[in-house]
Amino acid sequence: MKKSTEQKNTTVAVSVRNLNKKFIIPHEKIQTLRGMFVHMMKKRTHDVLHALDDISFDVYQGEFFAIMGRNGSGKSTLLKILAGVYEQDSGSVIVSGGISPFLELGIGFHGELSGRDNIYLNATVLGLSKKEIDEKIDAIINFSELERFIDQKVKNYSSGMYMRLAFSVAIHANKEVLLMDEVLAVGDAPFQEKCLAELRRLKRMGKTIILVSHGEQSVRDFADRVLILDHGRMHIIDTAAKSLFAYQKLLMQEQQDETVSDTKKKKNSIVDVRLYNDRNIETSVFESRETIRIEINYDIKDISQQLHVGLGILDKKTDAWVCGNNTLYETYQHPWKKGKNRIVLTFPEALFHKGEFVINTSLFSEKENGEQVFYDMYLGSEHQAYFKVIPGDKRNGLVHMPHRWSE
Amino acid sequence: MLSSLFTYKELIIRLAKTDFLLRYQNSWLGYIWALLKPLLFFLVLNFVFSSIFNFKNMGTPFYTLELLTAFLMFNFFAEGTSSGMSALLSKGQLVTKIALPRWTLVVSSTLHSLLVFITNLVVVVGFFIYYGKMPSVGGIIFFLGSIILLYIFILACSFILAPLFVRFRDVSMIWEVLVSILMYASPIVYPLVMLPEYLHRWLLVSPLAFIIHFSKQGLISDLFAQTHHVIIMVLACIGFLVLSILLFKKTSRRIAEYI
Repeated sequence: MKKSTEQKNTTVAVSVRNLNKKFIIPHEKIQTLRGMFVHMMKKRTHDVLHALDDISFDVYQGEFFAIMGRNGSGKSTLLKILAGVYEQDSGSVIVSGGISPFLELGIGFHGELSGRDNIYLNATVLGLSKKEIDEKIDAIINFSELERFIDQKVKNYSSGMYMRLAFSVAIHANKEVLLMDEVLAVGDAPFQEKCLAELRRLKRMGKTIILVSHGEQSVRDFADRVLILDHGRMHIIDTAAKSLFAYQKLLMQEQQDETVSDTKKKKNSIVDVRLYNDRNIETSVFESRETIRIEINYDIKDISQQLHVGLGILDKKTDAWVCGNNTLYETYQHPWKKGKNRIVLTFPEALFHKGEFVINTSLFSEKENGEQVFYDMYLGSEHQAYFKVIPGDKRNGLVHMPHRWSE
Repeated sequence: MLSSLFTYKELIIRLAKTDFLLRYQNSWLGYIWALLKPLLFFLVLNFVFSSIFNFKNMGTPFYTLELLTAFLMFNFFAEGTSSGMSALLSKGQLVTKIALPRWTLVVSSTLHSLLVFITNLVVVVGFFIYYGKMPSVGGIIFFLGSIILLYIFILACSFILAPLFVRFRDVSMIWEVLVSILMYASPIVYPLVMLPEYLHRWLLVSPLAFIIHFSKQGLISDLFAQTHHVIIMVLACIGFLVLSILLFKKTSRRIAEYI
């Protein structure tokens, strides 16, 4: 587990310390008194599921914090404890300011009631007083774009309209910390844009947003930091790019355990990544516009699949992708053989201008259905695959773009 | 709890109002329809017991009025505990998806039954006018007090039943049986005087029987229970409510995991 490298010096909005939660799962679920009497004599056995195991983290004010993990990783349990629906076994959750106590949109919505009645019902459930709702109802209806339908019964709404109304109430509930379980896929594309814009606005206003999501795209675009849970434990908590990469790696291991378990000995792996300049000297410091040659060494044991190599170069400071190349999309056929392999990617007179860069590489194959199976990932941050580019002049910028000034 | 009752006042009222609106679908026809069920049952009971068993001529001239009052009060108890019992399950989303104080759900569900009962009183008043019976002021005050006491009793039962029902789904069936036993163990279809004297004190230990019996007596015969009996019953009901709230606090803590 790694600590975030750039913890901002801001106030803590949510502080979680040593959170533990266990579920007791009886082998025979007893749901009736009759069943209880019948089973009174028998010895009852059960499993213990450690849903959350010693979770500690802080979410800062104004932060967009995402929680990710596979099914059963404990992310929903964590969210439920944050919301106050579940009670933890031990540990503490301290929230400064109010937390939105709901996990779903449109709680309490009833099809037989009109849109307007449902706004009142839902907003009351979310903790608004009648006076507050009276003040906000126009804004809520406006935002939902349902002016024409607001006095119709909700059961006649399309699912998109339903979610629009629900989202609209939720963001007007006005709490300091917003909890959200996978809501970024609301409504049609223009409304989605509007929701995202609204989330950005809330963030600018200093609201803290905690999102539980499967969608890597929305997390990549929005989250400041991401916590990855794995089997109830904290796997990593870091910037979105770093956490997502670690998540990919986690998923990959899982896949490998599943699909390649019988051929474990035939594991294909990346041995190392080396950098050379055009004089063939191994280095990690380049001048701008100097040729960069990246040599990747492999240990290949299984060539039953067509293998591909991906290579991404990231800005070390921001984790932003500067460029990404791979042999699949660029249709380069590498003559793979069993044993040691070498592949070289050359950037002649590379256009990097100034800065420090990280190289991430991966080895994968593509199944017939388009799904990619990863064999190995080689993270620059773990293996010191960095390089630095020193500019020859005083100009700024990561890359040098071919350009021309004119009248 | 009293201060939080104030905090969650709007929530409780909104939930109860929604139940009420949904039940009657915003229409008078819906209301009449909802009233019809207890009323029809009452008419059947009235026919059976006043015509066939002829309780009317056994010292209870206003048997129909007594039966109506008693039966609607009992119906309030049956409906109130039944909706209070299923409050957590039927509003499961409000338990598992949002952190609300769970007692508000139980209170709002029973409150809805109270609202229905109060609207049903229109029929009671109608029958009293039809029979030309004007209750004494004391009788009316005692009756109104009895309704409050009955509501406290319903609330206490609901606080105990609701978490139990989430854990054990056959509790509702057991309770149904208990309620129909309670109906015949309370002086509803028969006047208390029909029973042998030594049974009276045992029967009146049940708050339901006590409340129904003395409400009828107060309204129709202007007869009241002894003051110290009333005080004991009020204290017992309040004590029961406090106990049930403490129990509910303990049992409802992890209830979201079972829904």
